[in-house]
Amino acid sequence: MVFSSLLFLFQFLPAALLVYYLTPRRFKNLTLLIVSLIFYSWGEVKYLPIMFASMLIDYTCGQGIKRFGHNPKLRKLFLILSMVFNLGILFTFKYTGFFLENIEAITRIPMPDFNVKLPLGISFYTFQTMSYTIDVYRGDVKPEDNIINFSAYVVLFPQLIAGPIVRYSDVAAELKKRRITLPMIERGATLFILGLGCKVLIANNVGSLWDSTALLPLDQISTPMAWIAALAYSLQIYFDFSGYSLMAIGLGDMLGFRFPQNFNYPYIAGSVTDFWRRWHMTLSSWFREYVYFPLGGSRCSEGKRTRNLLIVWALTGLWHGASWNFVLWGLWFFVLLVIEKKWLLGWYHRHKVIAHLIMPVILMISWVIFAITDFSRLGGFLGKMFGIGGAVNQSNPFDWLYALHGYGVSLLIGIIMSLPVVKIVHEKLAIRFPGNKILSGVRTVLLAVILIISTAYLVDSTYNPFIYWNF
Amino acid sequence: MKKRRIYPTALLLFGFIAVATIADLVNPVRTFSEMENRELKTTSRFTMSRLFSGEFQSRYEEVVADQFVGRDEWITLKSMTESALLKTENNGILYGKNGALFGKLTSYNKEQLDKNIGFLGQFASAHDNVTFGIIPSSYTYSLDQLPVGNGQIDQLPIIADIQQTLGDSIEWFDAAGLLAAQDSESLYYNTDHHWRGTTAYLAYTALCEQMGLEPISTDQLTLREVEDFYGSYFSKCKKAGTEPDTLTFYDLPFEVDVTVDGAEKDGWYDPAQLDKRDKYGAFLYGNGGLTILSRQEQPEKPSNLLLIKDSFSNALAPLFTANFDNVYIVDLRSYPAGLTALCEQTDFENIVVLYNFENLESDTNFYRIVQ
Repeated sequence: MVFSSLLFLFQFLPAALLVYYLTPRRFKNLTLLIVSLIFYSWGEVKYLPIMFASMLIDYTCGQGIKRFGHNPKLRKLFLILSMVFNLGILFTFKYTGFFLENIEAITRIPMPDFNVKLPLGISFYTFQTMSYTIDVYRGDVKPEDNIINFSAYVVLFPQLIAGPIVRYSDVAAELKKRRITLPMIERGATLFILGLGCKVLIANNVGSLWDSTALLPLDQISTPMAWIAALAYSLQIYFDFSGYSLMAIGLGDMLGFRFPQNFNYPYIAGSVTDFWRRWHMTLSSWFREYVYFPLGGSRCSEGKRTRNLLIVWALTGLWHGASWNFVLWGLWFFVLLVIEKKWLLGWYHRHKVIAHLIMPVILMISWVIFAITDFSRLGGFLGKMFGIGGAVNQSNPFDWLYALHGYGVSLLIGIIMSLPVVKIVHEKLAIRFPGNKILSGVRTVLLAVILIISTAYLVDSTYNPFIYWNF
Repeated sequence: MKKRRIYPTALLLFGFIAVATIADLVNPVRTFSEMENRELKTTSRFTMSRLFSGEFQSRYEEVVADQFVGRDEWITLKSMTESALLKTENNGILYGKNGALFGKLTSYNKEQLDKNIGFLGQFASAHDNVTFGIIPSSYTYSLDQLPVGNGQIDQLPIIADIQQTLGDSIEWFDAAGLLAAQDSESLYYNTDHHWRGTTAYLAYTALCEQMGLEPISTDQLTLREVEDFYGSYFSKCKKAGTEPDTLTFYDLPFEVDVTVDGAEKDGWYDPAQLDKRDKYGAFLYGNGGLTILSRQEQPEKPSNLLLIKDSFSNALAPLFTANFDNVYIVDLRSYPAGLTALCEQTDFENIVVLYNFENLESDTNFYRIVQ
């Protein structure tokens, strides 16, 4: 079930919140657990056993590490068990097919087809539960003794499917004791409506432009059209994913949890380094915390540091999908980051305007690498962006004009909303006119318009995919 | 006194969800949407196997959307928003500057088209009295109404190529040329993909002349007009503010006997259907496999016409009863039997094959013409 669906908004959510709010405090986690299991099983009844196994094994490992605190070998054994299980299911479902295909391609020995549906949110919840056992092992958090509390964390529906990646340590205190306050619900409602609007009104709208262009033969795409399509995809993936995160954070607020921020206006970044501090922040910090630092981070020789970056970025790429273009995408960022660290950061810093102009171009190219899985098509499309293979679409020279005509307003709204314009104006007005009724009135009306129009788009939705759904 | 804070957004979200949820719960079930001209989904059957395969869930979500309270109004609101965003198309329909709607066609199935022309050539070589014409889609004559850079396919050179390919093996009916000579605004409906009844009559007269027949004149026919016609293009894009068409057709001055796939019907069109949304569906009761229109007094040796067609000819076919004792109308899409048997049983003075370009390039049942 996606958050941006009529089923979620007008059936699941009201029922879930009603039951949750009416449940006495000491049973709230049990209610959350049951409600989340229903949410999960709506999409994936047959993978429910994996979810239960996940809860049970990670719970047991946490308890094992605690119980055998005096025995380093046994402690390590429980950590390894948890890692093997989590990475095991992730690899089995996500990478087996890819692995077999590549073996077949190299050895030319026919391999069996491995074509199973990816369990919903597996890339996210395996990372979340691994954070638990690793932190318990390191002594950073106390293990959770109550299996209901722990299970509720594992399957907590707002964060289950597509981020933010909520570490156990982020919510450990709230799992035991949390207050649900009206200001938090107010904030949650605001974030949820904004997230819904980002997803339904912006991402879906511009997304159909990318999708229709991606289907065209290359000779029917002009160079300006290729850039417009890349822009559309860049906006789509941002509003799709950050919208989902906002909805998740908002739902967390309504339930009494504070989830970490996941996006911070990534497209205003002044360098690629800066971009990755602003994009999918919980994933970057996960890799930093559990891969980069354990490898030695940047406090080691330059050679080792580069190696560490390489490992992190190859893994980050691969995490996004079992396909070579994602690996290429990760490596592309590795190269950019290494170049920046060695030479460019200082220069970017001194030439801020140029840096801010270059960044969108680099990022649009990055998203094209991300979006097109087929290498020859990818090469062709990137070529098109630079006029290789004909800058003009002979059969329709004004294809780009048509795209701008139909999508210009949507693209413009997307560009404006990806800059902190509204935020800054709102903050300035709020400081200038504190407690002004008109201001809060306007704000509420705008949110109401977003909510109502989003509903209209959901009722008549021919196009409502989630890009990060499959990760 | 302590001032109580209010929480407007929480109130907004929960209030909206509560109202919509309750309204949706008490909203009666609808089985058909006049606006979209389609059956609405009402139930998702629950079985364990459907639950595990996910069919139950996806169908259930479709039911929720189809039955959502105020569905038509929500659709209109979305469409108004799209207009505000200056959208030029929706769901495969392009918006013309004059308010007319057009089908989007930026690619076509060349392979299928070549195959179908091959079947037609085969058919023509077995019969020496076949006339064939291709009707271009409405946008062909209204390119100036479309936004710049729309990328629509130019059907005319493709049609000209087909004419060349077929050469002398067939009598070519130049529908494209006939329509090009007319005023483009009145050729097709604005909200539907079909041509108007008056255009169908033009094509009828041209075909008659080509076959050496005397067309029945409009003085003898009755022009009927039905207001408030929202056609197939509208049902797809549901563009707010679209003006309805007036459905037009020529009615016959005499009674004809009608059978559709063996079932006898009263009259060549269904008056009840004219009150519904899908008014065009009144003609010949939709697209039956074999429809036979017969004059009530049959001579000893009746004259027969075979018309192989898509829905464009549904308003045209009845006019031929003025020239033939029996008009056999075959829609290959719903005529699995194939034509060979029919052509052996019945002597046809003339055979007319008339297709819209888009139907011809996409029809996967055309092979039945040689079966």
